[in-house]
Amino acid sequence: MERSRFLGTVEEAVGAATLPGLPAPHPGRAVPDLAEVDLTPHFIEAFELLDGVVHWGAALEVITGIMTERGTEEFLSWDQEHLPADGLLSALAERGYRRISTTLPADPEGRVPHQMGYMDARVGISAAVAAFAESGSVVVTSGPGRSRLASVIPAVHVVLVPTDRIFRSLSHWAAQVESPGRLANLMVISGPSRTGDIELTLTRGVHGPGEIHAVLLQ
Amino acid sequence: MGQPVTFRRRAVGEMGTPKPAAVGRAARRFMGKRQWAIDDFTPMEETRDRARMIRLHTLANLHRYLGQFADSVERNGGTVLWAADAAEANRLISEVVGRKEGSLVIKSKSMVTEELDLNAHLQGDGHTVVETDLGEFIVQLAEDHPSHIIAPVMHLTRQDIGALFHERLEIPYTDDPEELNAVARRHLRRFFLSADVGISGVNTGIAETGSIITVTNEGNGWLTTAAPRTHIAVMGMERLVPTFEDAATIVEVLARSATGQRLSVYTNVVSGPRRPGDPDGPDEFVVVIVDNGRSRVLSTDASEILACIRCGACLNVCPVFREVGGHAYGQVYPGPVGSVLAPGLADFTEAADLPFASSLCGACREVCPVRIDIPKLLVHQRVRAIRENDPFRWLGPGLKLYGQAAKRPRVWKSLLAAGRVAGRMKGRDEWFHRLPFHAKGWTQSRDFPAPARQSFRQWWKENRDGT
Repeated sequence: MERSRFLGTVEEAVGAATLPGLPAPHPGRAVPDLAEVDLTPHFIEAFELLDGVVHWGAALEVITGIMTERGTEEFLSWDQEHLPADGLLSALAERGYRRISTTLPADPEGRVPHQMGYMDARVGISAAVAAFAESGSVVVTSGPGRSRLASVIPAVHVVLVPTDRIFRSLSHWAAQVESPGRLANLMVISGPSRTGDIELTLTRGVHGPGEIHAVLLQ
Repeated sequence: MGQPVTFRRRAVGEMGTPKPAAVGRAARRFMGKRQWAIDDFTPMEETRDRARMIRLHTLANLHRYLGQFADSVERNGGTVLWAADAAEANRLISEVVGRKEGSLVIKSKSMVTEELDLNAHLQGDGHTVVETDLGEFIVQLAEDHPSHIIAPVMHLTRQDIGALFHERLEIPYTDDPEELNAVARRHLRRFFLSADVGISGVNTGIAETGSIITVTNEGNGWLTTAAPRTHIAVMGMERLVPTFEDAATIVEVLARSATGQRLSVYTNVVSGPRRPGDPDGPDEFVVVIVDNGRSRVLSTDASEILACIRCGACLNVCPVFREVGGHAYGQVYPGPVGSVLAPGLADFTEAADLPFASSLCGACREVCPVRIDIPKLLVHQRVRAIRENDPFRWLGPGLKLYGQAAKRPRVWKSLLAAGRVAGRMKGRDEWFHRLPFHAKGWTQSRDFPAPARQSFRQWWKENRDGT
């Protein structure tokens, strides 16, 4: 249907609507609570409540430990320039770990064969552009050098979290972030993948990672 | 005329089966979890008020925000398609999917596509459609329908699911949820990575940024929108807010109300196809905006129901839903919200009995995160049902007949005697489920007690001496 006809029908319906509280003003911007609080302990508490695992610094040791435990030498990752741990990828390469490329080939027909190469990826590395103390969430985005699938495909997600990026809550951050529609994808992750679909029994890792590790960096 | 007893028939069929018992247990557990989340430090009541104002404001200006949303999607490099009804939506989606023959389509949970019966349509066109939400995947394997908007297989036990996986996926029988989960993960993984098209619903669209948000706990919403070359987002036209900040309020309220989480595990904000330089993501982003009866609902007494954010809390608290389960409603949207919405979206007579499937106890209004006055809207729909399809036609003539009989002792006595005969013929059951002639209206929504085996007059004759 034509856009104008569709919207014409909607406009007529709006005219006839019996909504309470008309003219229904917008509530306006929320007034943020700007009290100075050290949000890091709150973030840790909330993240652990969701069964996330928290580490301090030493990203390299954390990641190699997980790789050994999982018996894998391959990983997916963001590019080094977007990881707030200098030299991390070259150090992993030096120890013999191999990064699976997450850049799709230029030919659209190459997408599926390329992506099928992630089938057995067990570890993915990315970084938080923001984190939320209230909900224990981390935010990852798309962008050059920042693969989406690196954070969602592997069984274990390791996310680097600079503590100065911890905000109180999603709505606090949303009130101050600039043009969020600029990036094609923005993902707020709160704990490991879970489902309660079978008799409401909590099980982890149904599609996304079953384990999430936050490496806090000061 | 529709079938005013359909809800009742379905409900009687469902009651006493293990299904509603499972639903009742699950619904109560949902409510327990919800309490936990409301006790934390967000000012929940203020946030609910904000969310309500945002939703009502959007509805009161819906045509303007839809226009702004479409402009924003196009600015981001996406395409917007407009569908007046289910047939048009299915045709438009088919056109996008059908550019390649025999496409593999993965879907993340979407109630609006249930409303369109999209899967059947795409399969009819020769495409393969795979549901990826674990519950919806189970529903699809069982060739069943979801019974709850948040927990689609609330009506199945783990043994049911174990038997189903054993039969359909050819794995050894297990009813351990962890193992069933691992089986589904392995099975669905290759579909995610190799699908041609991902179809998602939309929890909330954002007019200012042209974004759509999907909310899942499993991660299937994110995979569906990130891995295939084409992403189609199907959006009910009312599912919109003005700004990103407004959307944040809505998803915070939604997660707390639906499952007692502060946020769902994956709140996925998609704003168009991948940008130059992005290593992955879809090349093509299409939003299909669906009316399918919504503008009709908006222009009636029930417009407020469109403020609904689909958390499912009103189902969990509803004493009727807990007794009969989701399938008894016979509609895509069950429970209190569905009883208001379905008669508006569907051909009215098809669902005209649903507004009566409520005791108007008000639990749904108490629990609604955007404070929709559902009991009031149910009453509006009842009024409409009576105006358009008077199920109480029997009342006037029925009472007149009663009056005539009650004034004539002989007629009255013989009627009671006939009732006793009929009652005796029924055996032990003490209730009539159907009465004949003008009295049948009574038993359309309630039972009628069979007369006692002995009339009071007889008993008095025999016992008046006190012996």
